[in-house]
Amino acid sequence: MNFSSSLHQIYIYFALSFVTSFVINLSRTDTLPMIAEPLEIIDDIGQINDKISAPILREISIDIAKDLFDQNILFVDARSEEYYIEGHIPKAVCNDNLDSLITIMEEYISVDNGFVVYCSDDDCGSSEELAYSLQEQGFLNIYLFKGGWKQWVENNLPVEGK
Amino acid sequence: MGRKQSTGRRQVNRINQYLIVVIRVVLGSVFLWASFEKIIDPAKFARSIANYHVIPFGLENIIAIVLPWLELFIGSGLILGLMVDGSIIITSVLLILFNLMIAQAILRGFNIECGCGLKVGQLVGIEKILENFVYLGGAYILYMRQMKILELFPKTNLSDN
Repeated sequence: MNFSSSLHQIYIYFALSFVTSFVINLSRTDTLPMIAEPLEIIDDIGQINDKISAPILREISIDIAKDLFDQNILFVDARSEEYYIEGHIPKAVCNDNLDSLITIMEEYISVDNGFVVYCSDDDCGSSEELAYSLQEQGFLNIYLFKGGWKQWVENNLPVEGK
Repeated sequence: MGRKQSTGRRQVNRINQYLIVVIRVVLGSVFLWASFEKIIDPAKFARSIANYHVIPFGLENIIAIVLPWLELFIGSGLILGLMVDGSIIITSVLLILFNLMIAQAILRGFNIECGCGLKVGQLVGIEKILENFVYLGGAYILYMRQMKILELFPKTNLSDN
């Protein structure tokens, strides 16, 4: 091995990184699978009433989101407050600060009650991020509405705000 | 090509050699710092990668597992002066890839977190692309250096390569 060769140095860095990262990942209690698995998708409202004993995050469509809205399930807006003020799903809660948001949520639900998290649209990512943060805080039953605010408005569903 | 390289090296040679060490340490620290949060929470980093919508077949996980360690090793290599040429090349390629990822996210109108590991909640934007270009400039200066100052391994002079 010629250590002065840039190419050999690159090989060494990659080899070190692969070996170390795989070993560390396997030794973690929360080992990350090599290939990401998509979220379970709820396509039937009947699945909503499942008893939840372990934390679970599931994706819902606009139809299921509407059904849950009609059932007065809590909606959590993962967008920043300035967008929330502009317009949001009626009765949805929002706060830029996670602790404050949890305090607000606890006024409506306990940790094993289901609730919906949404953000702007399928590309925003903040709803999933918030959902995982809330899961870490002990909330068990989370529904992720990836279509978000954009799809809600496009379907002429009720809105609240300016 | 050879003439271009020697002109480049002459220009860089005018820069104080110790400034090159400073650039090395700063660039290394950036990569080292960026790696920490990703190593601690690879799942979060995988979600940040997925939000760019360019990685197919669920491969974001394997990238999220390996990339932070690569950043850690090349960052350490730059700071400690270990296999600096290899680290500079990897650093440059990564910065170019990061900029391409961010640029396509901006063009597609994604308002997503950068996932860069430097500032919590930093969104993708033109500022991040410019920041990466500054780091790329630093990497170019390092690549064009003529002398090895405070480089521990390998000890071979650049002219011997």
